[in-house]
Amino acid sequence: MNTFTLGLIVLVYLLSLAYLGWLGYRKTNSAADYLIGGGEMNPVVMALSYGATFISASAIVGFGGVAAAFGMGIQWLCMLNMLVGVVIAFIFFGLRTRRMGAAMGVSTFPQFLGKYFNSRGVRVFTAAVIFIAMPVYAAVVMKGGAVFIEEIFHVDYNISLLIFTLVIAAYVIAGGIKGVMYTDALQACIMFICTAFLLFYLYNYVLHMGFTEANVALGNLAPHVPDKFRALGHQGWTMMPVGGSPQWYTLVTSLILGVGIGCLAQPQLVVRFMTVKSGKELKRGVFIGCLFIAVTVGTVYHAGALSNLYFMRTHGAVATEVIHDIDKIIPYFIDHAMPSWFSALFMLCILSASMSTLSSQFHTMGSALGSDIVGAYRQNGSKHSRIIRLGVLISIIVSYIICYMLPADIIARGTSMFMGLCAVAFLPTYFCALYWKRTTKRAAMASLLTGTVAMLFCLVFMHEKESAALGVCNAVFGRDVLIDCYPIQVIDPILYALPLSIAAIVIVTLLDNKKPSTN
Amino acid sequence: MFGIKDPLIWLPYAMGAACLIFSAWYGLKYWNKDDHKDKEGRA
Repeated sequence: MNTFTLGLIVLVYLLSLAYLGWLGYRKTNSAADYLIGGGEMNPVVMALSYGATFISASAIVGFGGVAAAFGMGIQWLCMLNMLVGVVIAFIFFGLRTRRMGAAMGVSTFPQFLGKYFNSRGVRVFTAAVIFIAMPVYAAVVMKGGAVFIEEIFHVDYNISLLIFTLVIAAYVIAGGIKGVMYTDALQACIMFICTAFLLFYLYNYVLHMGFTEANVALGNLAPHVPDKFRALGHQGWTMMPVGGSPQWYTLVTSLILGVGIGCLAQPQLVVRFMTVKSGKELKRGVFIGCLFIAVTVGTVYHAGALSNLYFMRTHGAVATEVIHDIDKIIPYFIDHAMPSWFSALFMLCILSASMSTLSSQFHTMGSALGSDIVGAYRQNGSKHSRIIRLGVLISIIVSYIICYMLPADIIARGTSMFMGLCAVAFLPTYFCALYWKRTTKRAAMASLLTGTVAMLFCLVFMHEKESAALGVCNAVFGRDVLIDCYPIQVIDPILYALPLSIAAIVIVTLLDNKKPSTN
Repeated sequence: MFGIKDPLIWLPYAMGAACLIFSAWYGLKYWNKDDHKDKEGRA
């Protein structure tokens, strides 16, 4: 596909975003409209927006590459995304969140916790964690999007980062959550169609095999596992890694549990539950969300593993032997195995995944600053959409600056760190707000603090991937990790920090043993 | 199953399919059913 046609496709895409952003702006008349769409969003738009926000470009490109390297074990993550991220999230968390949120008249996740526990401290602390931690995650996604534009359009990185940021900033600041969710829905459709076509074309025109036949062929590639991966526990692409091996710990604790559970308490996803009129809309959205995850995530993970058959046939070696950078396996595979027109469309799919995640992050950070932090100290501060818009603008500028300070190979780590932090800091408090009426304000605060501190401690001193990169442990103790005893240094921080956070909320609640503070 | 010998690999596929079927059933069953607690919550 030539540059003109590619440019035309992107232009149509950008014009569509501009129109949807304008539509959001026109329909936004109050702070409630700006934060939760007035609580009257369409269930299909809500479910698609939830899915598009959930699935970032790193989930497609990064984890697709992980599937190519380590095999189909990563499908546990897809299954958990469907079961925990959609079914459990919508039915056991979403319905109550929407109902309680409407009853309390709140519009954001920090407001929800703060109002339930009748605590400004809980509200401000939750918002502060979001505003401080999320810009790093947003900057990671921004960097991925800008690098992508740079590679496809051969535009300078600085210019592509500026254009990418300005386009998203325009429709988030102007259109609020309505602009974000309308554009998310369009981007979700693009992602759905592209990934569904990928699987169809892969079987029929690349592999020329059926489902079972391709799985058998992939299983037969087991003797070709590179020695460096075999040493880590890799047994083949249709086998789980050896139990207790480094690869097994990474797959099970970091990828499957960390990301799979972390999705439950992500503020940008929780707020989606408050955007619909009744529980009926949420129930309608369960299937749409589940189908979206199954097709987008499941397809890419499956295709990633099967790409080894293509690489073996065309290059005589498996994917990681041909492409050494795991993040570049899926783009290379799409570029070489698929028709050229699809390569261009798939790039639009990656762009959509980045933009949909990023727009929601900007909106959530801006709400945290403008509505939750400023609003907590100012009379009716949370009611003014102008202050919230200013919060969004500040959060975009902060993320933009951080983007220039990020080290290399931060994408996967940045994503899992943020998801882990959300799980350990917010999940016990959020769960207890929904299901345990005895939970006290002090217990909520104790859990928020314990989870956050424990997570930061593990990242700085315990988990080798982060502690070695940060260098603080080395500077203080002269070694990369505090406890250099396998498997402690490879177990994801969520496995240490989450039980501590849960213990804090349970113990303090039982000690307090008094009436719930509110509701 | 389907050419995959390791049950820990085909299990997530089977559970994913089960999730999809359950969500379709759940969505259809409650498509037009109002949540009675909704009314209580708003009251």
